[in-house]
Amino acid sequence: MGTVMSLESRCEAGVSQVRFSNQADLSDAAELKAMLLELLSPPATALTIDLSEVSELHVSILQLLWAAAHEAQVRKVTCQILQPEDHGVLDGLVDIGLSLPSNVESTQEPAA
Amino acid sequence: MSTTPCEAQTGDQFRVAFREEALDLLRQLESLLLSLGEGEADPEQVSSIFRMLHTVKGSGAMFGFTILSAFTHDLENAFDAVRGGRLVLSRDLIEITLEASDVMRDLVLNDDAGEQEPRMALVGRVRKLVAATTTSPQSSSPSSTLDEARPAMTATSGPRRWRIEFAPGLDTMRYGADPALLVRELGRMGSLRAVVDLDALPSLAEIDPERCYMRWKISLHTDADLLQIREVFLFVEDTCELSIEPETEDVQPAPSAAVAQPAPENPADATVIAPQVTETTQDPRSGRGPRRPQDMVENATAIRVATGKLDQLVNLVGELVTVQARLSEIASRYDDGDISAVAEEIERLSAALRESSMSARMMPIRDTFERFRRLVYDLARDLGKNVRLSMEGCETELDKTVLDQLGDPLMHLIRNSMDHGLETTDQRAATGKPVECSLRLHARYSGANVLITVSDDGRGIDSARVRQRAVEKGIIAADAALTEAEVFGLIFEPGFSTASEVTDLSGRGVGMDVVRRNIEHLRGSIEVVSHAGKGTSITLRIPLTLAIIDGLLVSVGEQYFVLPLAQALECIEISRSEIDNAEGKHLIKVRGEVVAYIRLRDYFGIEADLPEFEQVMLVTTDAGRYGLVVDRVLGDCQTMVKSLGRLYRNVNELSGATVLGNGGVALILDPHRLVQECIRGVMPATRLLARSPVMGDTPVRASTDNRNSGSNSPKIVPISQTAA
Repeated sequence: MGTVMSLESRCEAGVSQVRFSNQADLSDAAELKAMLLELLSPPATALTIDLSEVSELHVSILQLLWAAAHEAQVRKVTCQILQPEDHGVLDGLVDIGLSLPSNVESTQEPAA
Repeated sequence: MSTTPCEAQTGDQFRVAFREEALDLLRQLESLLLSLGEGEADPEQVSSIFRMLHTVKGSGAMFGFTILSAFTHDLENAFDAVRGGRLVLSRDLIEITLEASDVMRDLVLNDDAGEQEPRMALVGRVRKLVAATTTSPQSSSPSSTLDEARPAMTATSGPRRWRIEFAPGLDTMRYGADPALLVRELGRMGSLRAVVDLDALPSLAEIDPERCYMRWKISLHTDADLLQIREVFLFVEDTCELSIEPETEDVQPAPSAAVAQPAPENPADATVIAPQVTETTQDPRSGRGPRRPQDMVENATAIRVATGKLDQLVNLVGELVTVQARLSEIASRYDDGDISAVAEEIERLSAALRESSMSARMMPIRDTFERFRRLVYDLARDLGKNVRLSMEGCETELDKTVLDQLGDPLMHLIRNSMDHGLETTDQRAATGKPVECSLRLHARYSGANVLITVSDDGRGIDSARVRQRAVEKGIIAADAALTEAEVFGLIFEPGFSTASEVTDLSGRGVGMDVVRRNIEHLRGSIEVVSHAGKGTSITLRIPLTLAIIDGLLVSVGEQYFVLPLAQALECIEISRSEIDNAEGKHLIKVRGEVVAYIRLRDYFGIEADLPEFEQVMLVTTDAGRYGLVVDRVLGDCQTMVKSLGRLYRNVNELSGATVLGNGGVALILDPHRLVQECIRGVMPATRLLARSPVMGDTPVRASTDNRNSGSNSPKIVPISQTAA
């Protein structure tokens, strides 16, 4: 059961990227939460969540994405979500009333 | 750049729990199927089967058993059609479902799904049946793949729109359920529009990633009725808030947008969902409000506990019982009211604790019996015999450990009966017997034991042939004098078989010896009664529990014995002169009834000073009432049964040993076997060789030596007094 999921993060001068692929399920949620909290902490200015290679998104992951988007908004961090290339993933979510959060534009002044 | 690879975990604990539940369900499914007759579609039974299949399918999908879930789907459809009156419950469907239940069991037990072809062949047969008989156009066009199949819906008064509000319990996902799958399943029922409310979602820092904070508002347009919609939520209904109502004109339909995104007050929040407030209303049809998680906790009547934990609990209680006995013994030595009161209270509590912990391990024998329905069904079909299986005493409870070890012996007895005991239809007709054979499984309590009987109305055991075969095999001498019971007992000898040909089922002489070995391992015994042409009845006598018993502590000289309280009737005093005047006849008159007694002093060859008065403990056994003569009756005691070990395995009269409060050891008597051994009066001289736990280093052995009693009783005597 379960295809191996890989979760990668990169952070450089407040600009971060999180990328995961394959099946993102409940067992990955705790790790993702910790990672998102870290990447949204100061001096974060931008976060890209790359879901382009995701083949399945669990409800728990989706909740974290919504919470992260809200957190980004509160912290005035630009948050961009790269949608799954597999359209079936998004369609499957929409069928049951779910969707990905929209991108969050930062209102924060760029770092000097 | 830092990289953190992580693997998706398997959620093993949920899969283990699912496996257990699914296996239970499949057992129940099998029993129900076997109880159904062709064309007899008892609506309640058919609905039960449908629900079981639905459960296996639904929870299978939740816990990652996707092949199982897909495989079960068409069967679920078929039984949905049966309960909807669109499909006749045929023998074919029952047979296919039985075969399918075997496949499902394999899929539950094995991670490797094996070959797909046989599964698809079964699915094809189900679809063919459904397509051939169903009147529903939806069901008559089988899907091209398993995943594409759609459940058939009961045609009611046409499609209808339902308003569903679904708020999964916070811990739903932690228990392995995926709410998205449930909503997706609803979507398969028809046309669905859903809105998710994320109002309850905490901040990123506060969110528990394994909890579910979503609520769904759903509008569903479907043919399905309320029951069918509710069944989707079968596994989470106890932990979620759920409201299902038909939409009426005055009910606001769900918005058409997939996700509600109302205009935010603060433009900065424009990209985030502003959650809607949803109130769950009561279901007017069911007359009850939504069930909340706390309801589930209050309403829970049973939980699953690993047997290992129960074993540990009973072991600890056993140790407590031993320590409590020690405390009571110490209290009896001190004339202190406070200590005595505490000791009595501890005794009372430990007795109650013991009762509770033991009762947690007791299970009805029903499941064990029910397991054999399928075996009998399959064997009857393969052997061309018409067999009616009946079960009685299914509520009789036994210790789980005992039940686990009964499966094999019962299976061998049933196979033997089916293969050798019961005749074919032609043979029965020729002898004027009813063509339908009878096979009966029966359980009942008998004191501290349970008697389990497998009986048939077949041809019976030919004792002459058994004897002849035993002589041929060198098991007995040609001139051996054996009672009929002893001759029947030969069928349990290793390698013994009277079958003229070896079949797939039996005839190799393997099996019945396993029965005896297993039953003796359980400290049980076997009794065979057979009448030529009328049938055979084999009774297993099994102790209720192997762990702790209520006993009566008695002593002979320095030796302590424990007598199971359940078999003790009363205690009578007997004087030395009465024994002397009996002229060797071991008989006593109890209120006009003559009762035979066994003097343990003589039987076990215990040398100690004779008291002026001895005590006769009257006990009940299968052979009637008997007296056991001891020096003193010390009182009742809770007894943690300890194994006597390998050296004592052939000492039938003893069922174990226990540690006393004073640190000494008492042997636990098995009155039934003790009486049997006495009646038999035969015991090969070299049968026992053991070391008595109370006689220190003095080895003892059984002997027919009579020098202590002058009787013919076998006994345990110090090895120094016997021939080497």
